[in-house]
Parts: sequence; structure tokens; C-alpha cells
Amino acid sequence: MIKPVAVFSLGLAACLLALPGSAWGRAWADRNEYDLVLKVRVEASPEKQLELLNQWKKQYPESEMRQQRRELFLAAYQATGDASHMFETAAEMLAERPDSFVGVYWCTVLAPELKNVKPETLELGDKAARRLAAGLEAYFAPSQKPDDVANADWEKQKSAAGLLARRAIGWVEWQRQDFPAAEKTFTEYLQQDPASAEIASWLGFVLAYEKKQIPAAWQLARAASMRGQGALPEVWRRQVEELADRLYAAYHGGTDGAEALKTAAAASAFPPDAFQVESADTVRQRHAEEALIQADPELGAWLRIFKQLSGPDGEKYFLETLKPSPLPKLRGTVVRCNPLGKPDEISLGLSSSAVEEVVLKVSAPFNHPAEPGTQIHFQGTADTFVKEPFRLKVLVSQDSIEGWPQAPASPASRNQKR
Amino acid sequence: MPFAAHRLVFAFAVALATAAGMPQEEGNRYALVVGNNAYVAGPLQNAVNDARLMDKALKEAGFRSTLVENASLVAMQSAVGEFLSRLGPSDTALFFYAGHGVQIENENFLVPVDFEAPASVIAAKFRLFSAAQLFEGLRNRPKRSIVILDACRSNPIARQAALTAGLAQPQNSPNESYVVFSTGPGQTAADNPNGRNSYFTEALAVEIGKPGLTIEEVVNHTRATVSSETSGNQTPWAISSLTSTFFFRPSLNAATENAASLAMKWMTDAKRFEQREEWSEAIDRLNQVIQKKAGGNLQAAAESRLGYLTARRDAQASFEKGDYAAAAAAYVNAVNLDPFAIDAGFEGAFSYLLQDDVDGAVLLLHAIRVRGTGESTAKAMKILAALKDVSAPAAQEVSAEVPAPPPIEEMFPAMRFGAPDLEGSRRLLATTPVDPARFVNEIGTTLAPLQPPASPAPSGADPSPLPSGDQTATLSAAMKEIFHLEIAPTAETRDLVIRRAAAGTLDTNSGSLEIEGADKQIPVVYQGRIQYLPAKLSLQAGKYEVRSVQDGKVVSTQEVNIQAGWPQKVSVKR
Repeated sequence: MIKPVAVFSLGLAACLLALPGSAWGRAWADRNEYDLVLKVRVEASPEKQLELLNQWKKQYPESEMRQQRRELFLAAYQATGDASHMFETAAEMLAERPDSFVGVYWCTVLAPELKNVKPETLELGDKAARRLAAGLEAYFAPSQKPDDVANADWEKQKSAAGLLARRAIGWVEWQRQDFPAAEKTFTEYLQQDPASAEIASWLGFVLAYEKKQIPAAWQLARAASMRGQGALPEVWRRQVEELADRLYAAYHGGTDGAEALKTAAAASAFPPDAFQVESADTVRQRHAEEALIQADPELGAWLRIFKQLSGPDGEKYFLETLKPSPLPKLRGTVVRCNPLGKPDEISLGLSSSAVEEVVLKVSAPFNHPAEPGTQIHFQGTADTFVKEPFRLKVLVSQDSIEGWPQAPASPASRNQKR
Repeated sequence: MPFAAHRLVFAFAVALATAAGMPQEEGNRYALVVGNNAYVAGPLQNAVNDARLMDKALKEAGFRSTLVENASLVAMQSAVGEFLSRLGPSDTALFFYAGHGVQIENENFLVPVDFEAPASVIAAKFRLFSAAQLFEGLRNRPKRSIVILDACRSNPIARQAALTAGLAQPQNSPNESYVVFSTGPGQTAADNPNGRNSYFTEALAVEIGKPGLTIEEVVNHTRATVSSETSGNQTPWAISSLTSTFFFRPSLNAATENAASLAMKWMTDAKRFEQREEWSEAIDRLNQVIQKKAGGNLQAAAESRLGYLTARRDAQASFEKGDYAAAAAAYVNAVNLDPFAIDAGFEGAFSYLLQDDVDGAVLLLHAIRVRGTGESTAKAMKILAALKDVSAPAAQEVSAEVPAPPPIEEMFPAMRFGAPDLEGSRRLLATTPVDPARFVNEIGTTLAPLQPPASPAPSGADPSPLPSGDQTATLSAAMKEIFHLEIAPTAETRDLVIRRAAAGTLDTNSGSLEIEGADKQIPVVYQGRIQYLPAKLSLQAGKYEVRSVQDGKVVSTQEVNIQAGWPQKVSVKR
């Protein structure tokens, strides 16, 4: 049996061999400094650790281990949830060594966590995040990987750090009110990690500031839809959801369809290309047209056709939609007949009695004209269309025209009656 | 406990958020929330808002909350009496107060709104609500009591009555209680005159809303927020005698709770037990961490610490049995596993000495000289000096120079100096997300509030979804490209109609309007209907405008005065 003393001796000897005494001594200013740090090590309460660390800092401000001391400060502040002091500490690390991985990393992580947004903290956070993003390969080089971390995990950590950098960069852009840049950054983030409720909500806010209500509502609804790990705290989740509803209602003029948007947003980080929500103006216009069709179907039908034909795709609408199908029943006022005696071309105003809009080409001429101002109803098929001046030619038969005046009695027949 | 392990613990302490595997309180949650603004002397701006906010937050956290605003002394006493009478032995009771508070002879009093400064301090006591009285009522009544006092605001009442503003540390807080003050004892807190709520209550309500936070974490986070927002001038303060964990809100999904968060909780427990030298309990917790397969630094820390704790447990057991050889061996093992466990070194040395193994003791004392503090090194030297006459190694050690202390990296092996704590940062972000309230409010102020959905029309009613005025507007919108007429009552008419409607005389006040014109194609829009010229409309008596509209713009108007029984005529042209 090996005696305990022998085992201890072996262990101790190994320790002593591993650590060259001459190198140890240089770091400590004196034994008192070491004693102070040992107290920090033994202390369990982070508040008391902070007291001891401050004592160390006060007594040994220029300690050779001041960067390590700052890391101990960071850990203690983190335990007390004090992001503000953590950021200050990380900033101190960067001031001493601008490429400090710890300083760069924590300034990146914490910039958005600070309650009071100040230009100088934004500047620092931005610089740190960009340095982290640019230095990912170096900071996470295989040679830097701790032995107990698997290669795949190291890669994941690198990727996560890249996302944190993007998060901070987007945050700074947003706080500087560079909304398009922030939108781009957060979009790129979500393309890489679509499951982040936080970034979805941030993108939603940015889009809302840009007055892009529906994309904003989509992102906020998506953020609110997430549950479990990574979800927003419940009280905020509901605030975000309500904001999504309000943005949707403000744009659409009502909440109908909001649930469908939420369902779709929960399933996808971004709206599909064809996704559209009617604006309140469009809805009002549609309702107006529906009301007009109900109140005066012939006028309503004409105004709808007129609007399409007058629009930028008027010719396309004419060829693809209007021409292949019979027109609905329409009403017009005769402006003139051509030829005057037995007309087969009737010019009509439909929106107005004064302006020619439609020319009816009648399959067989009428035996007599109609007076200008006569109101007729007709059904036919569109034949040709000229946008400027507006003229729609419609092929009709006499049977499909209602309201054409009766033929005036001829003098001969009157004579016969007499 | 080596820092390597407890750094992991405290670095992640903010992430101690889990309900999984933890018993939740089995009783009801009752809250009494009081907010007093309306003081004659020194009215407050936000206390009632604070009470409302807290009432809402607590209700959302499952409390049956009673809100009392601007309470007189009698109202406060009555509300507290009713509150206490509802509490059962398995319940959780929460009392929240926002308003003025004073201390008299180290006793805390809450100030009712009807308080008037009396001639003497003694008399004042009887016009105030005693917090001690509340504590007494809570003693042994519910399972757990939480008392939150946001009552330390700048206080003219105290000055007026020659009392001391701010609250004192409570002397008789109940057992199983958690008492929170919005600021430290004897300090005053800001009412936040530029905001709607006090800094304290605003932050507290947000934290209460976060799932999976223990009450300690809620208060820690609140403290950090308030301290930051007040530039360190206000630091909320708490005193606890809770022995069980309390969550305002359980985790969102306890079943899939992050394994590492649970492991953190067990690591913290293990640390607490280790500090009390309750080795077996500490070992149990570490085994839970290992069995949970938490992964990452936590699991590694638990595995590395387990051997040390086992050695300490074995050493203590052997020592108590008088088996000093086994105790010494176990202490040596402990020191090998944690070379900075100075107390284990001394106890091991004593164990060796108790079995007359001086050389063994000297080796441990040497280890203490390498890693101990100046004080422990001196103590080791004294022992070595006493042994030098009987032990050559001891004599050699005494004459040897004090070894240089080890480098900081050896003291904190889990720190990985120079590399950030990646796991810890993820936990920090998960538990302290950025508060979106500011953006929600900013964006929300530009939007109209959501309207409740319209209730369906009763059967038999006009199915038209729009009132006639809207119909008219709708038609006008649709017809904006074409020339048309609109008939609109003037404001004067509407007023008349309303008054006459109230008098029930509408039917006898109808008149008519005839509109003529050469162009028969001109539409006339009135009350959602279209007519064409010539048009005849039946109208209530009053003034109207006949508006000619072209391209969506009113190009001309004619005013008509409709009188009962008298048809009016207007002529229009394009």
C-alpha cells in the first residue's frame, strides 16, 4: 500500500516542478497583494468580492495583474447583475489593450444592455463589435481552443460571437437612428439565426420607425409567438404582441387578418415575397367601390373599368381581361351619332354626359338617330382601346341596347291616319 | 471552495431561474397593494400609479390582489385586517405600499393620506400605520410573507411633524419573510417626478414579469437597474429569512428547462453546503449536476470539485472516529485536489501530529507556506518552529526562505484569463433581455388604440355595416373622379336634429329639397344613396349644403334652409 504521505509528496512535487518559482514572484508586488487576492478567491459573496477587489485596486493600482483583476471584477459584477459596471470594466480593459478579447467581447455583449444610451458608449460598443467581427478567425483560431472544448463546439462559439457582434452593430445603428442600416444588419442576423425573439422584436421596432407597418407587425408578431427558451419575458411579450396588433390595425384599418399574419409569422422569419396586406386606403376604396356597385351597379362597373384602363397597365388590362369577356351592363349618355341619319357608331359619355368615352359599333345601323343626352343601357364586347384621348370601342347588337328612342312617326303615315 | 468553482457559480447566479424539480408553494397568493398620493402636505405624484402597476404585475403573477388608493388611517387598518384574515397557513402573502413613510424611535410607520401633524411625536404614532403591527399580524399566519415598501420618498410630512424620513431596518419582521425597501435604511428614494412610476416600482414590476426568477434575483436585478438609473444615489435593500425558493412566475417551460440553469442552482446549493461544512449535502448537489449532464464549464467544475468534497467528508468522518491516519490521508487528498484549501492543510497536519507522523505534517505545512496567506504562513511557521528539534525536515523548512506565492492563473484555474466567459454571457443575455418598453411606448404613441371588435347587429336591424354618414363618404370616395353633388347637413342642423330628436318631434319637422339641372348624368349622393337629376330628397328641417364635387374637391356650395312643409329648390350645373 502506498502511504498517503508519499502520494502527497508526489502531488506536491509535481506542483512545484510545474511552476517555476522565479516567475511567480515577479507578478506580485508583495505578499500582501497575494493575500488580498487569496481572500477574493475564498470569498463566496460577490458583493464582498467586489469590496476586496476594490481594496486590491486601491492598494495596488498598477498591479501587474490589473487585467486579470478586471476579469475578476467582471465576474463579480456579473453575479450581481450590474451590466453598467461590467461595461465600464471591459472599457478599461480596452483602454489598456485595444485588442483584448475579454474587453472586446464584453463591450460587444453589453452595449445594448446599458440603460442609459450615451454616444460614447455607442461608439465604444460599435468599435468593439466591429473588432470582434473582424477578428473572429483570430480570436477563435484552433490554437486558442481550450483542450476540453470540442472542435464543433468551438465553431459554434465562433458563430455565436459573430451573431453577438451583429446584434451590437445593429443596436448601435438603430440607436443612432440609421434605421436602414439597422434593418439590414438585423435581417442578416435573422437569416443566420431565425429563432431569436429579441432580434425579431428589434427588427420589428426598426421597421416601425421606418413606417413599414406590416413588415414591422410581422417581426413583432413573430417575436411574440416564441415561447420557451429564448422567448421574451411574458410581460414584454404581450406588449410586443399588442404593438404588432396596433401596427397592423393602423395600416389595415382593422384587426381582421391579424391572426393569420401571426400564424404565418410564427412559422417563418420573413414574409413570403407575395405576402401583402391591404392598406386602410385600399380597403376603404374597395368598400367604396362595393358600395357604389350596390348603389349604382352600372356606374360602379364603369368606374372600375375606367380606373383600370386609365392606369399604367391599361393596355394590358384591356387585352388580357376586358377584351376576352363580355362587358357588364353599362349605362351611357349619347353625345353624338354617326352617321347622323342611320347611325351605326354611337359616342357615349359614361362618367359624364359631355365627354366621349365609349364608341358603340352597332352590328346593323339604326334606322334613326337618338338625340344627344339620351340615356341608354348596353351590353357588348370590347374591341379596341386608345388611352389618349380615352376611347373604348365596343361591339354591340341593336338587341343589346336598351333605351334607344322609338322611330318618330313619318309624315306619310301621319297623313295616312288623317 | 476554490474560486474556480464558485466563480462559475456567482458568474451565473443571475441565471438561477428554474422551477423544474422545485416544489412550488401549494397555497394561495394574496396581495394587498396600497398607494397614497393625496397628502395635504407633500402630495406625491406617482405612488398611486405605482400601486396600480404593482397590482397589475401581481395579478399577472397569480396573486389575488386588492388595490387600495389614497387610504386614510381607518381605511389602511381595515384593509390590512381583511387581508390578514384571508391568509391560511400554506399561503403566500404580499403587502406593497407606495407613499410616505417615517420612522419613530427605529420603528417604521406608513403615512395615511389623512395624517395631520400633531403636537408631539408620541401623538403622531397614533395617527400613523405601524409596519410593526403589520409584521405582527403576518407572524405565523401565512407560509411566507413578502413586504415591499416604496415609502422612503422625500418627505415634507416628516419635516413638518419633526419625524425622521426614510425607514429603519425592521425589528420584528416575521419568520419566512422577505422585506424589500426601495432604498437603504435611513435613505430617501426618488419619486421620479419626470416619470409615471418611481424608479423602484417600475423596475420591480418588470422583473416580477420575468419568468423563472427567484425573488432574490428579482430584487438583485431591480437593485442594479435603480442604482444605474439614479447614478448610484438609490440602492434598494432587502432582508430575508426565507428558507425556500420563491418564484413570482415559474419558468415558461419547466419541463424543458435549460439543464445548465438547473445545474447552476445545484452548484449554488453545493457552495452553500460546503461553506457550512455539510459535505454530504454538497456532494449530493454536485452529483445532481453531473447526472444532469449539464455540459460545459458547469459539469467540469462539478466533476472536479466532487473529489475534493468527498475527501473532506471522508477526512472529517475519519477524524471524528479517531482514525487519524485515514483522516490525514483524506486531508492530503483534499489538499492535492485543491492546493488552496488551507484549512484542510492545517487539519491534515494536526491529524498527522495526532499519530506522531511529523514528516507528514511538515509536508502539509510546507504546502501552506507555498499557498497560504501571510497569516497562515506565519501560523505554519510557528508549528514548524515547534517541531524543528524533533524533525530535520521541519528544521530545514524553518530555515528555508518563504516560497514565492503562485501565479494568479493557478489560483483561478477555471477563469481562463484572457478569454471571455462565453457561457456566462449567454446566460446573462437570456436572463436580462433589453427592456423594450421605451420603443413600444414611442411607437405606440403614434398609433391609435385598438378598438374592440364591433358587436354584431341585432336581428332585424339594418344589416348595413356603416352608418349613413360613412356611406356617403364611401360613395364620395368611389366617385371622386367624376362630377357629383353631395348634400351635407351643417353642424347647426345636426345640433338642431339632436335636440329635436330628444323632444321626439322629428317626424313633424321634415321638409324636402328638389335639385334640378340640365345635365341628367350628374349623380346626387345623400345618405349612401345615389340619385340623378332631377332629384328630390326628404330632409329634416335645418341648414344644408349642396356641394358640387369634382376630382374629389368641393368646387362650389349652395346653402339651403329646409323648413317643415316648404319644398326648397336648387338648380345646379356642371
